Amino acid sequence: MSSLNLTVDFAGHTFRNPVTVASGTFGSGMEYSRYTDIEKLGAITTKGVSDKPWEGNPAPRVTETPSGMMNAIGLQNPGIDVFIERDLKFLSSCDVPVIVNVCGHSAEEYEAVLERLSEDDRVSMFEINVSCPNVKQGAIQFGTDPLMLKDITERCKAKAGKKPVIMKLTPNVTSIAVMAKAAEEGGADGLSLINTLTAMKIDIYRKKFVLANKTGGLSGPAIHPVAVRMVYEASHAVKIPVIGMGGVASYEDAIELMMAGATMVAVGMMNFTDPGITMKIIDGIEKYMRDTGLDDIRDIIGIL
Amino acid sequence: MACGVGVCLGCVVKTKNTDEHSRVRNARICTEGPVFAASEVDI
Repeated sequence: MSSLNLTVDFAGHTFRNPVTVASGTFGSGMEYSRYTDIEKLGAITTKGVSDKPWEGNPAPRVTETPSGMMNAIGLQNPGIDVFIERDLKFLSSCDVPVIVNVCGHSAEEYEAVLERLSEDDRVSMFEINVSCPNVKQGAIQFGTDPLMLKDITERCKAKAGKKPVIMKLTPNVTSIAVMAKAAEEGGADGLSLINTLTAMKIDIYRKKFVLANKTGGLSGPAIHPVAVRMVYEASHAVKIPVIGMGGVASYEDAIELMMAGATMVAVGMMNFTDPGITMKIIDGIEKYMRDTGLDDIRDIIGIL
Repeated sequence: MACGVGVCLGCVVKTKNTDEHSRVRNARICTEGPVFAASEVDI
């Protein structure tokens, strides 16, 4: 049997396979390491970390929807100090590359986190969350205005040292291509998309919003076709590589996003349904390669 | 509750004091609960 190449090159790094996890669906891997072999992942993308602890939104924060879920967690996290002393310490004991997701209300808050980690060897890359629909102040604005996106990208790049900066884009825009270009012009080394789609659910008997935040982000298999379309449009608008995500539930979904233009893929909500889903997807990609005579996974990236 | 294992932070309850894990006044029902002392939570 010929040997298969699953490695992919992304922003100057070579990853053992193209599969990572979507920020916020995997913590820092501590909990899921009890159920799955996190060292088989191409990379771990951490839950968003801010310069101070964030309380997040009031409950209820999550609800189920057809083929998906809505969430309005509000980026609750313990802040960069605890992240470094606890989460990063755990991750450094694991043989897996780390992509740290960074969130903030203002450019200064993003910069404060990046300054703490820019020289840290345990971090491979940064993913900048400019697209959370559940944080009213700041974040989403950076991701929906091209000029603001370019500016925040430039500022993050200036504080990231030599580490690549990936801008995570929201689908809640008229043209994802315009946003992709704005991030590229700002110096982004890569893009990741899509974040959740802003949604709303009403309890008709209680006559109230289901989520305390009123709106929440829709994720899961329901949004996968939207992700394929947007990954295609974004990746064809820029030269920098893309991490595709949005409802990936199977190896077929992962391959589909790669054919649309993604160099890597992230598994999100489906980690909640099946903690072993990422392993099944990696094994499934290998099976697909054997079944179709594909020796090198890189040969299918952006073939359409 | 989405993940049930302490990852998603979807199931939190407000706490009177700062929670040891989250470092904010929210505890995960799936992990720190589901049973809490009434004096420890805001319900």
